[in-house]
Amino acid sequence: MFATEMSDDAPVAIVNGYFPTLNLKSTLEKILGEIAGFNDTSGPVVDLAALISGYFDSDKRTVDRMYLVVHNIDGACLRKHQAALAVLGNCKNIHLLASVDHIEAPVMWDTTLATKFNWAWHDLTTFEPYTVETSYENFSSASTEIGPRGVLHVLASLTENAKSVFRILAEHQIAESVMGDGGDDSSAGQRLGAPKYPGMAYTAYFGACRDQFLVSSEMAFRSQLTEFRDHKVIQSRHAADGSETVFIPLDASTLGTILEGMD
Amino acid sequence: MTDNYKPVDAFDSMTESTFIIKPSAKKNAAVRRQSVKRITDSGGFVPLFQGDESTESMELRRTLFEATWPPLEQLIMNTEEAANNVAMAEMCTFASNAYRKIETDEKGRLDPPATELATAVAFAGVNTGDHSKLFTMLRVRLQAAGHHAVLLESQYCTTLPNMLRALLDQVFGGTSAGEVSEDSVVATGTRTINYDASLLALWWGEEKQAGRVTEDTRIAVILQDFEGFPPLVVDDFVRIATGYCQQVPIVLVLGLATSYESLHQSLTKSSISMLNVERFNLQRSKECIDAVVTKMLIEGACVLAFGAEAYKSLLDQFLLYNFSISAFVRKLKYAVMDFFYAHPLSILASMVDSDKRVTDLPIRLSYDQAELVRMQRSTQRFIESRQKDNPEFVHKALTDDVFLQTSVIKQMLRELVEYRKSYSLGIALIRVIQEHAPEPLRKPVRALHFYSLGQDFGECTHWKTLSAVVRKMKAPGMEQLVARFEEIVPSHSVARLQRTGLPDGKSVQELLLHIRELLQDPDNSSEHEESSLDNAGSSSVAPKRIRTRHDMENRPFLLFDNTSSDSMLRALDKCCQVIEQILELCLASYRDIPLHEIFYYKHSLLLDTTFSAQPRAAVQTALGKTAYYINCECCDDDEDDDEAEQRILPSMQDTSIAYRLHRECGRMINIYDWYMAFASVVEKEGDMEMGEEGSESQSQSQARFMRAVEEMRLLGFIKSTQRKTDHVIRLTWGM
Repeated sequence: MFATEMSDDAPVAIVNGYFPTLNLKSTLEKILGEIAGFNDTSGPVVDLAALISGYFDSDKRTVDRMYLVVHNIDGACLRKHQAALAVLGNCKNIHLLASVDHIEAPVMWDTTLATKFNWAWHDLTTFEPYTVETSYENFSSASTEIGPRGVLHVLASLTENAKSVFRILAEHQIAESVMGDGGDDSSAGQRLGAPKYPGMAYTAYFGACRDQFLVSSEMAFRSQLTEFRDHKVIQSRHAADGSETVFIPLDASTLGTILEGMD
Repeated sequence: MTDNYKPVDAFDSMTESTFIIKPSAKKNAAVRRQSVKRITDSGGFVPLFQGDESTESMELRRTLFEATWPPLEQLIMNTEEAANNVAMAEMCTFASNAYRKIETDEKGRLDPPATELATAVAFAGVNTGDHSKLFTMLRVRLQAAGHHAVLLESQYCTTLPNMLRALLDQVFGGTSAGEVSEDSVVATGTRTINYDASLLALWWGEEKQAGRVTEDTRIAVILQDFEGFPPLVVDDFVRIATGYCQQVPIVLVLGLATSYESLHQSLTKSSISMLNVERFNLQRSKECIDAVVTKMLIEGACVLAFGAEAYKSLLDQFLLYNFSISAFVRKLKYAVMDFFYAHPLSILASMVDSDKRVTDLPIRLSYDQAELVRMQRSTQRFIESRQKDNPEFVHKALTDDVFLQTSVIKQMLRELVEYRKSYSLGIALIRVIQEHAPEPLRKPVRALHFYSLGQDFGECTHWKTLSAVVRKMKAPGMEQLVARFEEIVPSHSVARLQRTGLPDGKSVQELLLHIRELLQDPDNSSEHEESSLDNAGSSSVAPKRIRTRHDMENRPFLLFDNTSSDSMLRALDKCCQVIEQILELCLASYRDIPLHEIFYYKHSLLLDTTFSAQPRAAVQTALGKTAYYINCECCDDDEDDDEAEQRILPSMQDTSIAYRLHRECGRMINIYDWYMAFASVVEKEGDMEMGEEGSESQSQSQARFMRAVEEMRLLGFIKSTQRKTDHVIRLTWGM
């Protein structure tokens, strides 16, 4: 509301600190590009912040001042970059508004940083629920895996055909892992070199799907697999001889639960 | 509790984390056509009295604020510079004299000991926040003295190449040799030059040939926060600089916040042996704060004065945190901002100009404003005091707004101004007395100001000790004291003291003159004649000197001193009395002065909450004692004497219920148990309402519980654990 209604006299940059994949470097580059007019910038975060600060300190700038609104300056991705933010906060013509939610938030700042930021605190406790900040709970793009809930979620939005395609692979994987466990009680754990998740060879998988009339052509099959891959439901690896193996990166018991949940 | 579904804000997105909004010219024009008022129109000032305040009044407040603060800021900066003046001058001299060839008697010139890097170690104190200002000032001084000065901060110098790059950028950037800097970093962010110390040496050679630098010019490299630099980097830099110091006269300045030990701990022995160290002390924050308090608060450069609690809040910020001047100034600025922004009668500050004369108000007071003036207790006292002499005055003051504005307020303001002048005189006199007192009794000005604000003059313990000192003074000391007083008084032209309070209607100067004459010639004065009748009877007998215990305590020198006569004693006594009277008048409590409610800032709570915030306490209060924020009737439970036993009502907020339940757990919390407890509390509500039952309410309570747990995790109360599934670790104890 502040951004749209009150601060009409200067550009506003809004940074959602609670966003789990926030990259401060790209944020600063964006600010440099759109507000300050620099292009082709690179370098560590501190230097970028110094560039912005230098721009707003110089007399020849076109933009007079700037508002920077940071939601949750104590967000997970911003905790390491407080020094860079302090450089921005120290600049006279950059006005910084930030919110903190974590109870230990002030620990992030030592006296030098706290003096640079020059905070004036306001207690604005509303009892609004944290719907937006908590909606990113399972959102972790750092790992390429997806949890069972995610898979269920994805499957719920797919067609029956697609569900059956998934089911074939899942059942095969469960069967493979049961056989693998049953056979291997001498060595501790799996043999070195054996894959963590047994999968199906691409050709065998295609054959099984075609047999059940789930797909009509290879193009359709491939597009279905691509869709699964985009949702990170399946992954593939290549063997030494060039053949492709497709697998679901979940263990057998989880797969069993999913299959039960699907019905 | 049902939540209304709110539409998602335009700035919440699953993919983008940053948004930039620019003001559009068209939008501005459209808004102006509709003549909608925006906050930024008036720089943030809003009309008070719920919008009834006139625009001119609001604009006046705004202009006053914009006119008041910048000169104050400038004054503070000048004070800081003055406090550090001596130390900085010494450092400039040191820089100039480094590497200078020593002249010997045989008219030859001797080179100083080979290859030692001249280093100045400056102790800047623990107030690290102030250091950047301090070292910038130093840099400016060095540049004014003709040297090249470079300021390096640790955050830009994490490795040696970075440090050299920063150094060379600053050196080249500051000179007219701009052709090198065109290729350099500032505009494009890429580097094309190989930053190396040899480049510096080359450049220096060129500068010397071109005549832009002389024999005496040095390059001063200031490492602002030495403890923040990686030790290896500084080590390497010292070696490099020592290697080049014959060609390029580098003077190193290290800013230390802690002690000399950190220097020894960070650098290796070999690099320390290359340094030719001299120590300087830049820790002047206490003198600086005393000077600021004297100029702004006591002498009245700042039109706003501070009441006892607010001043205590300011001082505590300084003393109890880290002796930081900038924190003090910040609070001061905020208080001034609050005064002009939120107090409708701050326009009265326009009536006092910089020469402390009272002028007219440029606008007319509205009815609300005039009523507000009348409602102040001090105004009522002032008006009532005139009742006996001038009842018509009273009548007019209470009914006629114009009369109030032109006459009554002006008189009150004059009294206020006079009070402040006499107050500053009183503090100056006390400082003079302190000089005659032994060392432990000498308190700094800020403490004196604190004592006089907080207590009545007669009750102040510090003054009692000082008065004992005055009484113990003998004649020569007393004469000196009186002479000093006489020097000081004329510089504070105080009309107030001439009118009220003093006995015999004499003015201060006259009184001082009188007692000085008395001291010089005690036997031959009129006082003596008055009391001689009393002593006529006993003059034949040598009177006993020590007659009472009071005398024993206050004039112990009488035991050994036979030369001073009775009349001298009486003279000394009279002096003490007069001094006490003067001081009592000067340092009267500010609560007796008219309009003190306006001009003495009292919102210490605001200052504390704004600058010494406790977010954890706020969150825990919101969750644990929700009634402080929301005073709803459904949760209005009588608190027992033992607050920990307050019942958890189902009508409370979800996260609050979860929080209270988790307080009763140990270190590891089983989520399922927690959920069962939560559900049992929440489903009571279902029973009470006799509404839905069965799986509907169960899934609802489950959803609410999950949301509450996630919020607790976001706030930092719990943390998920790998070791035990379905458990979370509790992170906070104590409340």
